[in-house]
Amino acid sequence: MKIFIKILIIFQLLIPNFSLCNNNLLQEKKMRELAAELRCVVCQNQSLLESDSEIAKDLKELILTMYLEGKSKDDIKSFLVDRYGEFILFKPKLNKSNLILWLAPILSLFIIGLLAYRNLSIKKRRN
Amino acid sequence: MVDYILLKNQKINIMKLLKYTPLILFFIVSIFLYNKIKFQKELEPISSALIQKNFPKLEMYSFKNNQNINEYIENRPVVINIFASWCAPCRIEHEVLTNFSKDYEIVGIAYKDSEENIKKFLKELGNPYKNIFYDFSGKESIHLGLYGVPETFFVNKENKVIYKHVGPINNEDFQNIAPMIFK
Amino acid sequence: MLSELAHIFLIISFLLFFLQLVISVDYNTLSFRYSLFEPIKRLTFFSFILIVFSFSILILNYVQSDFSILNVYNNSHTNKPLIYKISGSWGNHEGSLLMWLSILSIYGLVFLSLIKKVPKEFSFKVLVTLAIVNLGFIGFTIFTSNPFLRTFPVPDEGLGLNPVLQDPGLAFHPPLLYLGYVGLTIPFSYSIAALLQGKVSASWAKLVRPWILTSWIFLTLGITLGSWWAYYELGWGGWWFWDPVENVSLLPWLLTTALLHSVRVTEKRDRLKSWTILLCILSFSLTLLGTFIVRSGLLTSVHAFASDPARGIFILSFLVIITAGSLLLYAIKLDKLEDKKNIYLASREGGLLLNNIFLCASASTILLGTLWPLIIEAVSGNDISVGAPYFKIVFLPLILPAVFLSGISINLNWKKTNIEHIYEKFWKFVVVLIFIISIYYLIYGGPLIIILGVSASIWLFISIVSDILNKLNDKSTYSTIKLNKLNKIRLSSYGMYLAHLGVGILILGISLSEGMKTYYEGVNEIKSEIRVSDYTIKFNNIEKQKKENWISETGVFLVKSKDNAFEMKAERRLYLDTGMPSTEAAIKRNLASHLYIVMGQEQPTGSGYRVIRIYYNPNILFIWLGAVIMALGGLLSLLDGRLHSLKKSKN
Repeated sequence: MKIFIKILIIFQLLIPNFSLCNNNLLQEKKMRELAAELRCVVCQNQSLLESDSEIAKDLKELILTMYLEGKSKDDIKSFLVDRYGEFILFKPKLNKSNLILWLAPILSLFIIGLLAYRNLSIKKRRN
Repeated sequence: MVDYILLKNQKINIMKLLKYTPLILFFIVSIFLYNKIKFQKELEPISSALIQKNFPKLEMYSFKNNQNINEYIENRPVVINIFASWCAPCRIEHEVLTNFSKDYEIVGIAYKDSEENIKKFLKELGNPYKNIFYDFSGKESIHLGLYGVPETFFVNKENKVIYKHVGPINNEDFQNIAPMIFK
Repeated sequence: MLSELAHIFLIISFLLFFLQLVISVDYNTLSFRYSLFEPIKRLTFFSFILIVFSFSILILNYVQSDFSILNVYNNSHTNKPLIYKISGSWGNHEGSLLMWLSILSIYGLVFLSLIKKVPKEFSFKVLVTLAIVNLGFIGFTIFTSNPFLRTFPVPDEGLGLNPVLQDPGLAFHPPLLYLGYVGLTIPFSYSIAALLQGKVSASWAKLVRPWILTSWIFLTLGITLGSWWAYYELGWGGWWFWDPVENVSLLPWLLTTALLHSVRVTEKRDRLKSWTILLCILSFSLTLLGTFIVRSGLLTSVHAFASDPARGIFILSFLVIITAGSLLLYAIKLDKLEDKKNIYLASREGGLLLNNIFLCASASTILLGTLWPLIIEAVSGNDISVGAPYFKIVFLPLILPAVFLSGISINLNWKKTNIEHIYEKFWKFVVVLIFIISIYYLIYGGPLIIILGVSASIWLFISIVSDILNKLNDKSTYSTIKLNKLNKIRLSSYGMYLAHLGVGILILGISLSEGMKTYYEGVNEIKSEIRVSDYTIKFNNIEKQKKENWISETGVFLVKSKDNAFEMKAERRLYLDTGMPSTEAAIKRNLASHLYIVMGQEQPTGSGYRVIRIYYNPNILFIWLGAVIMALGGLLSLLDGRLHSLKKSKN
């Protein structure tokens, strides 16, 4: 029994290293995902992920560091927006002023459909 | 009976309006386009998120007496120029800074550079800076929303960022913007 | 001397169009002077010829490297190969504008040659509309964008062209695209003429459809070439960036696609007239809007020409006059147009109408997204941006139903269809499809985009095959297929099948390459190894080279896969005349997939470590293949019309 416990303890000591290795890869993946959603501030139509520029590399490193510190995606986004403005976000925030933008597909369908319905005599089934 | 007729007229009016929808929508779009064209500043750099906010706390220190940058600029209007010896446009704007160094307090932030190279740079082109602070890794400058070098911040006595200029600054722009730090 | 003549040609054509407008209409009674038809035809012909000559002279200037012309000096260089000297003539704002005018003139000349097929009073109005449009563009050229300005003293050498534009793909991209955009002027003019007549008929639709089809084919090819070129040349690993200028080219394409379907309904069933007219107007307006956005520097984009607010104001005014005028005319004449005939949803015209609604909704969504930064800035002063992630999220849910509907509509008949019959055929397919999708999802749990995309493509394929089989069926016994009926199917139907097959292949390519792509990015030193997908890639060495007008560093990569080993070279070039860098990605094709390697800068400088980006894009070639097949389908449809009328005239 004692031997068994000792083995368990040794095993427990080994596990954190294993998970740390995995954790790094996971945070890197998260960093890449976020970087794809951010605009490179220098070459303006590339994402941070794709960009080759100096500041893009620094920012990617910073994002990775912040993820490793346990910060959330929203934390990091706010951090960057405070310094670079909302321009850095490729996806506009979901707030009051952008509501129309995000509802655009449904609204367009509705308005165009309505116009079509009013202007044309659409019938469902032939009698 | 009267209600019915009124309702019918309303319906007809809505129908009439509907055919003008494309036209009305187009007018709204053109107003926005016109507005942008009229007030468009020529390929202007993106406005800084820091405008009208306090100059951020930075871990940057000078070599002179290891002073922190925020301590130094407290209660004085300053022009903060981020530069590097390896940056070609910085060489070009250096002359502009030298021109105005007597009338304004200009402070430099050396970005990703060594003291040795900065000394060489200033020896060659002159030193317009009352003090120089170092950001060796470049990480601190991210707090300033840096895109690249050079960039110039105009900060007033209350420590608020009045203006941020991206790229090398010329005499005209400096002349127009700098007085604002005294307000 | 010749260039001054070219400039004078432009001024003369401007005056001639102005003259035409003055004499065409009796402004007191607001009636057209049809008696002047013949002289006006000649005036128009002459103006078009002058414009084409003018453009030819500009090209000649480039070929001869005449640096006394400012435009040539700014955009050319004696060291450039001949083809790029020629394409340089349209690789700048002024030259491309003159090319726009020339293409418009060529379309005009074609129209004039076919004018006998159109009723005289109608074509008179078309000519008046064309005159107005030409006046705007020529005016824009001579007042703000003269390509024939001289410079003195004459420089020995030009400033060279952006190296990124010295590529065959890019030499052809603007002309193809313009052939599409400019072509929309004719349907636009036909619509204005029809509105002025107060009448839209099925025969009108029959006349205008070939023009719409032609524009659509060129737009499809032009956009495809642009996307292919960006992928191949820019080294960003992508083929569509939802860049404002890309969006602004996609918008007319979406509306022209909708228009293509809507005009077919008008031709076959004499319905959706107001819809067709409106789409003709809007697609042309979007073309003008696109020109405005690209040339006024309004939005940040990789495509930006040199921006100039004066030019912006001019185009904006032109855009507003044309569009507001047409939409006003539309609103006034709308009631006269529509006969209020019934449209049954369970019919081909019903399906096409629904399909149109989704296409138009996707266009308006993209338009809003592209202009949104402008709107927010005007309203609140904030700087926000709307990029690819937004567009991907909103575009997909609108385009997938459109694809789904087109699958169904292919199988519907005009007028009405026995809806129960359709249910019977399709519910079996739907069940099988859902079954396959569920199994796939359970096993792979794969990205949603693959599932949706593959299902959409399969849906289209099944629909096409189903309709062909239906046509081949012996009506009496549903089991026998008569292959000899294959040649009874009209060429235009084949065109339609081919075009939709192309859409299916395109969607397949997009979903597979996006869903299954692998990407590596890192900083590597020489002799290091990277694994991507099934490949082991060794960054072997860097070759340096110097030619007369560029120097380059080429990364040599040794790639090994399970049963193959080869070398790939990714280059970074610096052009000496302009100081501009360019990257050449290394691309290795395996069937329809690509291994794509880009070598970036040294990071940090002097360390020998380089930024390396490697993409594996499976089945990506299907994207451009699908698009080309779409265009081919359109071409078949177009030929059907020509052959048909040839047969008719023979009999």
